[in-house]
Formats: sequence, C-alpha cells, structure tokens
Amino acid sequence: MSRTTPNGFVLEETSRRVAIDPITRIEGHLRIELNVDDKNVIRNAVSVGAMWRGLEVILQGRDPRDAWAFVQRICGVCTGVHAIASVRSVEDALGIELPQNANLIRNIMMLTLYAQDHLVHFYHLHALDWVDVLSALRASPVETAALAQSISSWSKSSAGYFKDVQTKLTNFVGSGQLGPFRNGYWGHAAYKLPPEANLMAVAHYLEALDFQREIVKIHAILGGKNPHPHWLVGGVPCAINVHGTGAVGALNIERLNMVREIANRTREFIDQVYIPDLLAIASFYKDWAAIGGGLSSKNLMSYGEFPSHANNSSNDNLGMPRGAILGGDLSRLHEVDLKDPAQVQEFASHAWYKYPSGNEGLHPWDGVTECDFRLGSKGKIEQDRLINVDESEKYSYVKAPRYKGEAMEVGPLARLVIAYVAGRKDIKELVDGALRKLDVPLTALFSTLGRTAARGLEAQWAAARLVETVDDLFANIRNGDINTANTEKWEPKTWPTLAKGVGSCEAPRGALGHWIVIRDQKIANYQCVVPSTWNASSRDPKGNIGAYEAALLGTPMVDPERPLEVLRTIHSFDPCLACATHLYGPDGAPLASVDVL
Amino acid sequence: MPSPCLVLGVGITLWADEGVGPRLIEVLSQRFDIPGAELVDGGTQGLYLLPIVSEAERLLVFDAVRLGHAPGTVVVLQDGEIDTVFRGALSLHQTTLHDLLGSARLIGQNPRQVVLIGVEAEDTENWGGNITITVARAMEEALRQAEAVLRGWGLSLIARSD
Repeated sequence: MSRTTPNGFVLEETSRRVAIDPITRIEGHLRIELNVDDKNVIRNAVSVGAMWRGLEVILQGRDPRDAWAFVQRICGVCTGVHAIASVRSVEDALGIELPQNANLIRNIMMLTLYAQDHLVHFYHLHALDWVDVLSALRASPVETAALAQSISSWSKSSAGYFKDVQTKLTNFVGSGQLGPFRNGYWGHAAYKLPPEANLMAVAHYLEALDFQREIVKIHAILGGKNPHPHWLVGGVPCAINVHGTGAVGALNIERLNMVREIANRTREFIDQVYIPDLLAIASFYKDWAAIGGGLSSKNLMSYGEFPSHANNSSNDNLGMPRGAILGGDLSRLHEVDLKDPAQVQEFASHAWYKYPSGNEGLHPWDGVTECDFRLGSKGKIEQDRLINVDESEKYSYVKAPRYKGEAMEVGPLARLVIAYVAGRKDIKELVDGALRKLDVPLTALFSTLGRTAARGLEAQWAAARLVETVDDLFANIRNGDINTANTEKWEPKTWPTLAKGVGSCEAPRGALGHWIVIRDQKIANYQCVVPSTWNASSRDPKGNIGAYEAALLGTPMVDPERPLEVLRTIHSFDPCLACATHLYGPDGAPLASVDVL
Repeated sequence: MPSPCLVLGVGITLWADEGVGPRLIEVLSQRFDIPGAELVDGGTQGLYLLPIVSEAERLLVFDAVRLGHAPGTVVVLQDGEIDTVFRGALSLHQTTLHDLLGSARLIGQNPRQVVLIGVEAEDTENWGGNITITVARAMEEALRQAEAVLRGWGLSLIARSD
C-alpha cells in the first residue's frame, strides 16, 4: 500500500522494518527506522530524535545578557553559533548597534568555524562512509604517491611518507584498540575506492586531525579562550591595543599576525588537501549524485550570513545571501523574514510536545516547549527497549519547523544554491568549476554527493574569505578604529519593559534562529530552531516529510543489517542533534544496534 | 620540573549530574594552585579537545559515569582499564573519551598516563537542574582521589589563601 505526501514523496509501508539506533559519528542521538522492500530499497523512512532538549525552559527568568553562556553549552560542536545567534537576538530586541570591529571579529570567528567544522566533518565524521580503512593496509605506497602527486602539489606525498602512514595504521589496527575506527562496516561491498585512494585518504585523515588543532587557535586568540570562547552582547569581549602598552591580553599586532598566518595555512590545507581529496573520492562515487536528493531539488532555505558592514541587514551586504527556493523553481528567490508570524512556524503534531493550540503551528516568539511523550498506538517497547515508533502519531523529540507551511532543507548545499541563484559570482565560479571537473550537471548537486561536495566548496570559499576578513580588520584598525563594544544599553534600566528580538546565524550545518522575548529585564520566552530541527524534522499535520526522511527514500541497500548507505546520506547533512550527554555504559552493553524486524 | 599535565572536566553543566566533571574542575581550581598542571573545563567538546589532550604528558579526567554502581560511587580507572571498561559501549556523544584518546594515539601524540575519576550519576534527566545531593557529597571523595593522583605525579598542590 503506498501513498503520496503533499510534498510529493511516495511512502510504502512494506513489511520489513529496520531500526538503526543510534546513527554513529554524530552529535546527539538520532534513530532511523526504515521500511525496505524485497530488493532492499528504502520505501519509508522515519527520523526519530530520541532526546529531549529543554534548553528553552532553562533560560526563562534569566538575564538576557547571560543567555549566550547557557546556549553555547547545548552541544559540543556548535558552541560559537548558538552564542552568536543569542547575542544577536538580544541586540535585535534592544536595538543595540554593533561596532565594525566586532562585526569583523565575529565574521572571523564564524569563518574559522566553517573551515574547521567542514574539515573535521569531511575527514573525521563522513570520510569513513566512503573510505575503507582496512583496505588501505593493502595499498602500494608507490602507487599512492603517484595518485597523490597527480591531484595536488601538497608536499607530503612521497612513497616513503605513505609507507610510514601505512605502518602506523598497521600497528594501530594490530593493537586491537580501533578507537575512532571501531563500528566501521569495513569490507562492505558499497566501498568503491582502490586501496591507494583509501591510503591517501587515511593519511589525510591523520593530517587533518593534527591540523584542525591549529585552526582553533584563532578562537583562543579572539575569544579569550578555547574551548568555550567568550561572547558579549553589543560587541566582542576582546580589546584592541596596537601600542604595545596598556591592557594586558588585548589584541595586538603580533596576535593579529598570528591569526593571519593561521588563516593562510588553513586556506592552503583546504585548497591542497581537502578539495583534491573530495574530487578524487567523488569521482569513484558518481552514482551517489543520483541518490539521496530528497527535498534538496525542491525546497531550500538560508537565513544569510557574514555581513560585510555592521548594522546592515540588506541582502547585498551579506557574504552568503538570505532566501528560500520553493518547488524547485530556481528562477525565483523568496524573501525570508524571521519576524513574520506566517513564515517560520513549528508544528508538534508528530513530536513529543504538547501545544495549547493542538495541531496549529506556532511562530517561535509564541513557541511552547512542553514535553509530552506518548508512543503511539502501533509503537512498541519491550523490556525498556524501543522496538518501533508509530509515525502516524507522535514519534520524535524533533518538532516540525515549516517555512510558509513547507518543509525545507538547510545547510551548505542550500546556501550555495541560493547564492548561485542570487547571481553571486564568487559562488558561481566555485560551483561551476567543480561541476566541470567532475563532468556532472548542476542537478547533480541535489544528492548525497552534492551535499558533501557543497560543504567542501563552502570550506574553500570560507577559507579565502577568512584571509580577506583578517585583512579588513587590519585595515579598519589602521584607520584608527579600535572600538570593539557598544555598552550604551548594557544597563537593564535602559531597556523597555517588553522587547522581542530574533538572532539568526548560518551555522556550518544550516539555518539557526533564536527568538527571544524580554519582559521586565528578564527572559520571558526563548526558542531555538536549530538546523537539524529543519533537516531531521518530524512530519507535520498535513503529512509533509522532512529532509532526512525524504533523502533516504529510494536508496538501494546492499545489506540492511550493515546500513552503510543510510550513514552516507544522513552524514551528508552533518547532523547535530543538539544536546550532548557524556555518560558511559557498562562493559558489553551495546547501546548501538541494528534491528531487522 | 614535572611534565605537562592536563586536568580535564567533561560533561554538560546544564544537565544535573552530567555536569560533575566541570564542577570538579571549578572546585579544584578554587582550592589549589597547581604549578605544571592545566585545569580545563572541557564541556562536551569531544574531538575538539584533541589539541590540549595531545600536548599533555599526563591526563586526569573527571566525568560522570553510569557503570551500575550506587549513585555517588567514585571510581578511579587507569590507562588500559579505561579502554576495557568502555570497549563496546557507545556514549550518546559521537566522540567519547575512548575516541579522543584513540585519535591522540593515532597521531602518535597521546598522553603517557591517563587516569579517569568517574562519579556514578544519580539524575541525568533534569534539564537545568543542579547536581543531586548524592553526587555533590561524592565530590569531596573525587577531589581526594585527584589530589592523590596529582601528588603521585610529583605535582604540588598549593592551597589558595583567598
């Protein structure tokens, strides 16, 4: 029996149900349930956010100037983006103008995060879906060197170097402690790279592990410390002192030079290692340019990011433009207004929350976070173990955010396509160049491979922009501007009794919004709609499915008990089920399982 | 001069007993100056803690654990025991301590010695809630164990006068 959702996807609840819980190598906890047909093709996909994120509840009654410090603890990888969305929401509510240095420093923090986060995602969270680590042990170091030298001028590419890496890997695997390589589906038939490409990728996995340590030094220099850099409503908590005397710990020319030097090396690493690897790996997996597209060829959205000048929200001022594409119509960009109550709404008909309004959508300013766990009549729990959910009722802790009633995909692919459609030359050149090299059409972007490629291209764009932005900061300081904070409205007595604001941010993994209501100097309501809420969305009252669920449909699997194909598509979104717990289970208690029911 | 030592508290401070790791760092740093040791609130940064972990010769980690002991039980695990205990277990976080240490070993820059001081959690569901009284009481024991470990590594703990 099949049915078509209002957003055009065919769902068939065939007999075999497969549950993957949790999806590994992501932040937070995501469970995926699938129905597969007798040819192991996915015919129904159900995305289950299995943890409650009650951050909104914690923030009520607190000082809005402190909110960033709470929200940056939501999750391990998104710290900066939650902080920036939070301070922006307070600045918007209270009408606080930002000094240009603070704007530039925030852009530098964000561009640094894009470069680092995309790099780490590609090598450490996603590459192992395409790269068979154990196959690298069989590679010829001489041929690996030839391959590496044919695609990049990166200096570490001799046969001796790859031989050393291979030896190190052999010893590591031989020790029996697989560390980050455990839980891999090594030897799976869906791995297509020759051993030499696998060895090259593993070598770069190790180099990237080492190199990402350098990139975050920028956060430590500009944010005071890392992990958990400092943020400030009205500016950045980072004084500038170019005279060499005075404030201790202030940002001086020496430190700025260090930032510039790290930015240059980041750009070099991305240009010479990440991008050549991405294109080389992609060339073996072109079939994935036709798999996993889901919503991407229909509905995409970006809130826009990287304002060149402070206090200017026009689209022309944004390095990455704002906008939405609906129904796959690339000739038209729709406006996105986060304050319009009819545009962004969240629904809870299929999520474990209770709305006073029942099935109606709520704009985040009026949002409610009240937990309501009910399994649904066909859901099953046996001996404290979740067997299956019932997606016709409530089935996830992820609400269903909608833009003008539509499910949207967010993330690097959405940003790049929107910038492309908006006619941004820098992005067009980048995207067209990659499509030419891979010899695939623009529509190939709307796929699992396209999502992964878009992230790499965006990292390349961000690293180039990072270098430029550091230069802009130098220039602004040289012109005599050393102001980094506006404290005019720091004192709560200067605030109105009631104020509402929105702070948005394009996090590496997509559109992030914080909506705040301040009453009597305290937070009266706070709602975060995070990128993975859009992508991992539950179904809405009309039956529209979200991006993860849509992207998995039609995917052929080699073996549902080793669901490598599912990992590829889900990881291509760079999921972050924003919460993060750190508890360990006792020995031998497998918390990860694949159940074929 | 003792070799570089890192004392790392991990966990989420918004989530009751899950925050005991960072809380222990807070108390330890209020009580003592420890020359040669760096005290870091690692939050839930996972793999992003690799820069500091790979630079440490010795690593002491505070974390909440759920190993089936009575809530508030303090466990001290050394090097290989950490792997043995956590083998096969997968935390909800993608990069557990296991992955973090595995990655450090993979790039050949792992601490020579690792000790984990874990406090068995009682409540990890209470969003925005404080540490439970049971776990708060166990913090003194965890700190005593930490002091012994650090002194054993040749570090001096100088009581702060303020």
